[in-house]
Amino acid sequence: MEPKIKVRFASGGEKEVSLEEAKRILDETYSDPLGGLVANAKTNEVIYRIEPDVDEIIVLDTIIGGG
Amino acid sequence: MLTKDEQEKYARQIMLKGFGQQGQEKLKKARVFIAGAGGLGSSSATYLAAAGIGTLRIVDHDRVELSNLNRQVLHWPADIGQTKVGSAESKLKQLNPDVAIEAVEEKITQANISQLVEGCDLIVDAMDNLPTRYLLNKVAIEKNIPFFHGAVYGFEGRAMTVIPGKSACLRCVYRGAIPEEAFPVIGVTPAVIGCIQATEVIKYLVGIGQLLTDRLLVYDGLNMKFTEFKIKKDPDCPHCGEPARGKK
Repeated sequence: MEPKIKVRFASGGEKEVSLEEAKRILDETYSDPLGGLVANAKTNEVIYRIEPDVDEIIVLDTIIGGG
Repeated sequence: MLTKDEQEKYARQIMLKGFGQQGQEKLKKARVFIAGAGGLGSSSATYLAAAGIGTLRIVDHDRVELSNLNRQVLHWPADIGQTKVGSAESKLKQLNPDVAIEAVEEKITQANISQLVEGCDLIVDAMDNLPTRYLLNKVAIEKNIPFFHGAVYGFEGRAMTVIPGKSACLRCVYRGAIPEEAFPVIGVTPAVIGCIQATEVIKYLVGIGQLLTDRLLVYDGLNMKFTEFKIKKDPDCPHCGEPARGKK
């Protein structure tokens, strides 16, 4: 059975996707000019690729406000 | 040396384990660069002044507007139209007359940043846009100056401490370049994050505790949660990695 990856968006919402789809979400997050971060939900480590031990990721938007 | 008045004023923090008079003297000798006199700058500058930092160099080119007052607590209704650095200076001097305030009304740019941070022991990132944050991060790495990052949006805030040469930098974390824009924010969020930045600055200067390095602290005020994300130094980072070292 194809492994599923749970994707949790820090801004709200979650879904279960295929490994390929999870990789696509990660790549899009980092190639998006607005930026963002992806973390392994189990270790809370920011990751730049999905290793075999990753079964849940968290996608965080970049935030920049301060004023 | 601390004066008798200073010993009394700071008695409660001098009592702290590992702090003592020596720690207070370290704060007194320090010159801290605060980039921005908005929400984060108001909060961090207030507590750094109260703690007895010797000199605060505050840089901002904006003037106070009515819409700032929900969060920029150094600025009051009577200050509308005044420069933010002037307004901040007058409040901070009232709060702690012993602190020297260097109020610099300038926009931080690539052309002036090196000169602006000259002579400062560390940089507090209280900016409202990512391009200027990247400039600050880069100059911090180049000049080996510790950098204390903070950012807010709505009820969410983030903080991270960068020790050049040792820990991951802001550019190891963020790769995008969000343009400047008005953003929603509740005033308590920059208050929380600015206080975390000030805490980090004090710990760094005194030399106590564990700094928020290689970790991005995410504060979620709506659900009242703090989460830490582990960050690794990126060997390909354009500011602190191999590509940057190759340019030197």
